[in-house]
Amino acid sequence: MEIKLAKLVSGPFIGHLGTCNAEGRMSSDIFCSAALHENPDRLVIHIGDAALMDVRRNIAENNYGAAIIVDVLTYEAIQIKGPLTFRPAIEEERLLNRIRVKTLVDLGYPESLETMSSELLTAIELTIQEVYRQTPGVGAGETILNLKGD
Amino acid sequence: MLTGAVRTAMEGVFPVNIVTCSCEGIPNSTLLSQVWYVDERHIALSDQYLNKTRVNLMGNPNALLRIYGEDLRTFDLRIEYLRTETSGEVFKQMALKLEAIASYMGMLDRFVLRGADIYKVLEVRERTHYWKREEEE
Repeated sequence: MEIKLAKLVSGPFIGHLGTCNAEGRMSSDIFCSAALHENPDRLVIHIGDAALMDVRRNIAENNYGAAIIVDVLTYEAIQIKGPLTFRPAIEEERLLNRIRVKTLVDLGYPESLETMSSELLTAIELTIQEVYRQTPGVGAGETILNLKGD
Repeated sequence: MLTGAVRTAMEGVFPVNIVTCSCEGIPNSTLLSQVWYVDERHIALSDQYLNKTRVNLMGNPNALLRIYGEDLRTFDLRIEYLRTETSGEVFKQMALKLEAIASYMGMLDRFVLRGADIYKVLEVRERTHYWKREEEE
C-alpha cells in the first residue's frame, strides 16, 4: 500500500480533501501536491491557506478527513481517511507544490490553476487509518486497508 | 438558484467532488463524471460506483458538491438526496452523456450508469475568491 500511495502522489494527480463538522456540514478542497511523511503512516497534503477556512472550522469539531487522489494520466484513484493535523508548509513543500501545479498546466490543465502556487501554504498531515480503491470500474470502493477495524 | 454561471461550471473540465458524511461523522470524498441540470432547484448526479456515498446518504441525506468551471470559477452546492431514477428522460440523457465521457477517457467498459440520483439544491456558494493570488486581495 505504501509503495502504491508513494507512486500515486509522485505523479501528476488531482486530490480532493473532504471534512465534516459535528453537525455534518461538509467542506471540500482541491490539491495537487502531497508526499508521504518520513513516517509512512502519514500523508502530507499541501493546500493554500486561503482555501482552508472551512476545513479549519470543521476539524476544530471533527478532525477526521477523507482525501481522494486521482492519477490524471491513468485515472487510477484511491481514497484515504484518517485524523488531520495542520502546520505551516516548509520551503521544500512550497517548491514541490509549484512544480506539481506547473506539471498539470503543462499537461493542458487551465493556466488559472497556477493560483494554487500559493506562498501561504499549509501542510496537512493525514494519519492513514483507511484506504479504499476508487478507480472507476468493478472493485471501486474495495477496502485496501482498514486500521479502524469496522 | 442554479444561475447561468453555476450551470456553465457544471459543464467544466474538472470532475465534480461530492462529500458525504456518515452518522458517525466519518466523511467520504469521491468524484463524479457528470452533474445534470434538472431544473432551477434540482440536479441529478451519475451513480456509477457510489457504494459508500449511498450508504452515507441513507443515514444523512445531505451532501456537499464542489464544482470547478474551466476558469476555476468555483461553487459549493449544499444538496439533499431525494431519490434514484433508473429510467425516464433524465436517466436516458445521462446515460448517453456518460457513454461519451467514457469513450473520451477510453473507459467504455468501466462506466455504467446504475442510476440518476436526484438532489434538491439547498444552497449555492461561490468560492472563486479562494483562487485569488495574495497580492490581489
